[in-house]
Amino acid sequence: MLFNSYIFILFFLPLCVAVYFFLYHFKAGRAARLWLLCMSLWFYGYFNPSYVLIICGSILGNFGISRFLLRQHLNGRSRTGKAGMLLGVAANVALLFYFKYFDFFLENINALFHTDFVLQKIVLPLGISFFTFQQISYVVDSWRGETKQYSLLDYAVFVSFFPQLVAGPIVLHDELIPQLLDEKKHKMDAMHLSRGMYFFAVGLFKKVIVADTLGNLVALGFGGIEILTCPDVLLVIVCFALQLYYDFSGYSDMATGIASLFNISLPVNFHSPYKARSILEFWDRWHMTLTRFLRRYIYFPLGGSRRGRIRTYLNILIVFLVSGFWHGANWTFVVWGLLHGLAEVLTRRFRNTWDRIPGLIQWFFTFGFVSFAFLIFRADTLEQAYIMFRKVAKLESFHITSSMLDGLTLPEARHLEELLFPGGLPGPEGCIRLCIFLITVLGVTLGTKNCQEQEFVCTKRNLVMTVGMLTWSIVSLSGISTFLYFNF
Amino acid sequence: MKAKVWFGCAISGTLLLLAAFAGYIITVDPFFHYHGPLEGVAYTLDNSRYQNDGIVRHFSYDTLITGTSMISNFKTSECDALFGGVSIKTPFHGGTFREVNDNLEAAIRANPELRTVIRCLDQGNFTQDKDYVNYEGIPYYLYDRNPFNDTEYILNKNVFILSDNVLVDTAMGKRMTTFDEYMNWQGEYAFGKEAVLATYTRPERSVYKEPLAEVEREQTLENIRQNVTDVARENPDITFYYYFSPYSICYWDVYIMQQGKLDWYMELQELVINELLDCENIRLFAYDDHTDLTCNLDNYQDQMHYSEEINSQLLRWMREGTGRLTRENYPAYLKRLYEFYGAYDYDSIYK
Repeated sequence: MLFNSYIFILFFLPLCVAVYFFLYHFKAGRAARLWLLCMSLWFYGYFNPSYVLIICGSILGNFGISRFLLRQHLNGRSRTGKAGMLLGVAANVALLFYFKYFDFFLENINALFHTDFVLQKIVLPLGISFFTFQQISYVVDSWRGETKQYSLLDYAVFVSFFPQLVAGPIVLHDELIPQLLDEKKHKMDAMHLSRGMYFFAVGLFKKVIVADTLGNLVALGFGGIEILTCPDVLLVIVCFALQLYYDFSGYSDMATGIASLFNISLPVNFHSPYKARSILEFWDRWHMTLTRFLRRYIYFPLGGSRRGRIRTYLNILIVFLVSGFWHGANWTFVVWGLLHGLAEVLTRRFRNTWDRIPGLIQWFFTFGFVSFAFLIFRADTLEQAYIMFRKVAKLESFHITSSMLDGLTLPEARHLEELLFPGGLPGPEGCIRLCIFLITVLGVTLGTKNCQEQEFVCTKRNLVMTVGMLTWSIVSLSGISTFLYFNF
Repeated sequence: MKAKVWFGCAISGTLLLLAAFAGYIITVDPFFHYHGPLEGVAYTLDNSRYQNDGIVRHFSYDTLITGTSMISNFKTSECDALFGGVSIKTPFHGGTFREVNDNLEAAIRANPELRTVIRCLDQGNFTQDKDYVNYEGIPYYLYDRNPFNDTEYILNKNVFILSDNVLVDTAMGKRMTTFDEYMNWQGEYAFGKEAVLATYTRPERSVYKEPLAEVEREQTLENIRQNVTDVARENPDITFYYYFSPYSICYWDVYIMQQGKLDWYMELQELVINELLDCENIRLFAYDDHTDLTCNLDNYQDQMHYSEEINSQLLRWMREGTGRLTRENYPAYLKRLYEFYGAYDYDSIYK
C-alpha cells in the first residue's frame, strides 16, 4: 500500500490509529501491538501477499539469531558470538543479494564470460533494503550486548512498523521499541495527532504536487533523449535533483507524521540537504539515517579515520561503494556512489582550500555536483548518462523544446490560467509556467526551513496550510489516463 | 490554539472541503457515472473509455452502435432515420472484443428498452485471447459497482476541471456534443492512395502459413463465444446487426497475402461465420466481396479505417439486408473472396 493512496488515507490510517488507541484504552497493550503488527503486514502485503512470507521469515530468522547472540554475550562467549554475528549478517546480505542483485550478477557473468545463464526475473520485495539494514543493525547490536530481551511481538512490530517499513527512515531498536512500550505514549494525544497530521499533509504535498510534477518533466526528458538540447538536459538535471529530494523527503515527512499519530518520534532523515556547501555537509543532511547506519556499521568497524589518512580515504570509498550498491543493482548506482566517495575524499584532502572559497560558490559547486551525479543515478545505463552529459558539454543548441516547456504544468494551474486569461498568457506561455514553478520550488527548497527543523505549533496558519495541502494532495492522487491509438 | 481544537478543525475542515469537492463532481457528473446529462448543460463527449459506461447506463435509447474506431464515424441521426427509434454510439478506439462486450453487457443490464445492437467485428481481433485488452489504465472503478473506489472519480481534480469546463461551455452558450460528432475522426485525417501508402511500409513476402492451428481455433472460438455470441443467446429479444469491418486492399496485401495467410484467413473466416450463424438473433453482414469499396483507396485513411461515407453506406446496406450472410450463401461469399484476393495484382497498388 502507498501512503499516497485513497485507501491508505481515507480508510487504513484512521482505522489503524483508532483501534490501536481503543485497545490501549482497555489496557490491552499486547492486543494493540498485535493489531499494529497485523495492520503493518496488511500494508506490506497489499500489492503482493507473498511479500508477507519474506518479511515474516526475515523477522523470525533475525530474532532467533539475535536472541542467541545476546545469550552468548551475557555468557561471555565472544568467539561463538562473533561467528554467529557474522553468520547473521551474511544471511541478511544473502537475502538481499538474492532478491536485489542476483540477476545483475548473472548479467555481468554472462557479459564477462560469454555464458548464457537464464535471468531469474526475481520480483524485488518492497523495502527489503530498509528492513534488511535495520535488522543487520539489530544483529550487530545484539552481539555487542546493546539490545534487550524484547519479545518476538515487540521485535516484529519494530521491524514491520508500517510508517518506516518501505522507505525508511532506518530506525534503530533503541529508538522505537522503548517508545512502543512507554505507557505514557499509550493514550491519544491531541498535540501529537495535530503534529502528525501537519507533517503528513506537508509530506503528501511534497510527493504528490511537487515531486510528481517534476517527475513528469524528467520522464519526458528520459523518454526522448535523442531530441534533447543542452538546456533541456540541464533542466532535466535540476528537475530530477528536486524530484528525488521532494519525493524521498516527502515520504519521510509522511512517515514521521504517521508515527507521530501513534505518539512515536522517528529520527530526522532530511535536513535541507540542498543548502549544503560541501559534500561532507550534504551527507550530514541527506538520508541521514542511512549515513548513520553506514558510519556505525561499516565505517567505524573498518577503522574509521583512526588508521591514517590513506586508510581513511579507502574506508570512505568502501562506504560509498556500499551505499551506491544499496541504492540499486546497476553500474549507474556504483559509479554514483564512487563519485560521491571521491568527492568526499577530495573535500577532506583540500578542506582548507575549500573553506576559503566564498559560501555562494561552495553551494553552487556542491549543488551542481550533486545534481549532475544524480543524473547518473537516474539513467538506465551509463551510456545514457554519457549521451546526456555530452549534450551539455557540446552545448548542443540553446533553446528549450516546447514539450519540455509544458512539462511542469499543473492541470489546475492551466485551468485557472484559461479562466483568467482566455486569450492566453501575455508573453511566452510555456516559459512563464516553467519559471513560476521552478523558481517557487527552488525558492522554498533553499529559502525556507524544512518542516522537521521547525517546532510545530497549533496556529491558524498551520491549520489552513494543513487543510489546504491535504485536500489539494488528496484530489490529486487520481488522474485521467490518455489512451493513445496509433493505428490511424 | 488548543491542540484538540486544532486537530478537530483540521479533520472537519478537510472532510468538509473534500465533501464539497465530491458534491460538485457528482452534481455535474461529466462521465455520467451517477446520472444522465442535466437538462440544458453543454457536456462534451470526447473520452469514450471514461464516458461509455455512463452513457449506456443513463441515456435513453433503444439502439446501440458499438465497436472500435471502425464505428466512430457512424451518425446516429442516420441510424435513427433508417432503423427508427433512438440510437447512441459507444466507440472504443483500439478496443478488443472483451472491452466492447463488457460495455454491451452493461447496456443490456441497465436498459430493458434496448432492441437493436449494431456492432462491428474487427477481423484482426478474431484470434485474440478472450480477455485481452489493449490498454493499461482503463478506469474500471467506473465500470464496477463498488462505491468505495469511486473516490478515484469524485476526488479527482482533473474531473473537477472537466466539470468546470462543462459549466463554462454552458455559460458561453455552447451545446452538448451530439452522437453524430462523438469520437468522429473523419475531419482529422486525409484519405486516398497517397495518404494510405504513407502509413506503412510494405513488408517482405513471408513463407506460406499453415492452416489454422488447433490452439488458434480454440482461442478464436473462446473469444467469439465469450464476447460475441453468449450475449446474443442470453438476449433473444434483441436483434444484433454484426458486420465484419471491410478492410482495404492494402490490408489484404500486408496482413494476408504478404504473410502467406490466404488459406489460414479463409479458414478463420469460415470458423467465425459458422459460429455466428448459429445464433438466430444475429444478422451477420460482410462486405469484403464489395471490391469496388475495398479496392478504392479514396475510401480509406489507412489500411483499415474507412471514411464516414462508408459508414453511412454500411447502415443503408444493413437496413436493406445487402451483404447479409446466411448458411446458404456464405460458402459462395468465401469462394468469391478467395478467387478475387488470391488473384489480385497487389504490386499494382504501389505503381
